[in-house]
Amino acid sequence: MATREKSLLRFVTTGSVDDGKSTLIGRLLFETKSIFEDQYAAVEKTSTKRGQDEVDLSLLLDGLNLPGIAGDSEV
Amino acid sequence: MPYSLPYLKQLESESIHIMREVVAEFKNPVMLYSVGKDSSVMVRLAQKAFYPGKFPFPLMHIDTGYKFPEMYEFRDKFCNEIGATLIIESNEEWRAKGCHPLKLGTDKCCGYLKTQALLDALKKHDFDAAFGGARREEEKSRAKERVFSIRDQFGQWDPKNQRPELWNLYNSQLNEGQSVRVFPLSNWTEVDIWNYIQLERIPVVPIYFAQEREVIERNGMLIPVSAFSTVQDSNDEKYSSEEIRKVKCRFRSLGCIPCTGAIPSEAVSLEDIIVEVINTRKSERENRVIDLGSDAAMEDKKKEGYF
Repeated sequence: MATREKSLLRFVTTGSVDDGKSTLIGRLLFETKSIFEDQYAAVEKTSTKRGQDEVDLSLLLDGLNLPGIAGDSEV
Repeated sequence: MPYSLPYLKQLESESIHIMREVVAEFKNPVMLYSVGKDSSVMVRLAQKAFYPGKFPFPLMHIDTGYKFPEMYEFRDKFCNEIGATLIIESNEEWRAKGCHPLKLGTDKCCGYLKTQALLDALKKHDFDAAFGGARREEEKSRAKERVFSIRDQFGQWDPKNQRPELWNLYNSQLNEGQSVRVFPLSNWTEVDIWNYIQLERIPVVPIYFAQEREVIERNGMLIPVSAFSTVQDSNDEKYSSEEIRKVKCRFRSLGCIPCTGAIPSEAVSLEDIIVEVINTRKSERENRVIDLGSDAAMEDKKKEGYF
């Protein structure tokens, strides 16, 4: 089976707050089709609720629910 | 054979390292055992980490009383066979009061029967470190969790106050009152878990495999007829016999009966399950009511001290 021959990839992002670390990782997950439909739908829903025009892929790494600081994941 | 699976071996050795680190650094560790596939894998890794000795900590099951009968049967047999010490703890007060998700909502029900029960149990036994089988890819609130996750004196998690964790260097220093949850399977995926179960021939609860079951559909979940009385809070809620369907299905993840549905599946072997999981477009928690409450449902629970 193909998955058994795969290797591990450790991926590190560094940057300041709001530089887009989570967005980058989220986008990579999206482009590599590593996201499930229900996960994408949940993120889409939250983005719409927040009034964003586009789906905020950083939310895939971020379940934060704190008022005022929602969106910072501090990964 | 082992060397044809380098990535699984890498994951394995990382997990073993984490477990040995905890045993070396903490006074009184415990392994939280939820009877599911991840727990089965975690226990096997613990066996390997301390072989030929027995692993030097007990297993603890936080029992809500709502687990599937097959899970209780498996738990007792499995723990007996491997000679593990099993602690079972419950929130007896709220179980006696008839705590049920349909009565109180899933959030409150989980809060009493899981979170509160867990926090009380950790305190009662004075455990300073607790292994959990959570994986980062499982749920987004777990994506940013450290392997060594510090909890305050109330057992709560502050996502804004996490420590740096570089490579395989784990900080085990705690301040007064703090405790730590440790997640040795952080970097595993669902497919990894099943591949490892197959490689290591690890026993799992039989309801992970598909078979024809008599089910009733409620809120998009397939509920076995045999478990229906547990799902419905009062006896008034009945189903008509026309509602009963025979569906070949399995449980992709295991939780409490009222909040866990089966998924239609043809997977009767480990090989089948692996193929199914690789090809699925839905996440592992599609059949769990608990996570669907709100977008941040799981994170809220985690902050309170739930896993």
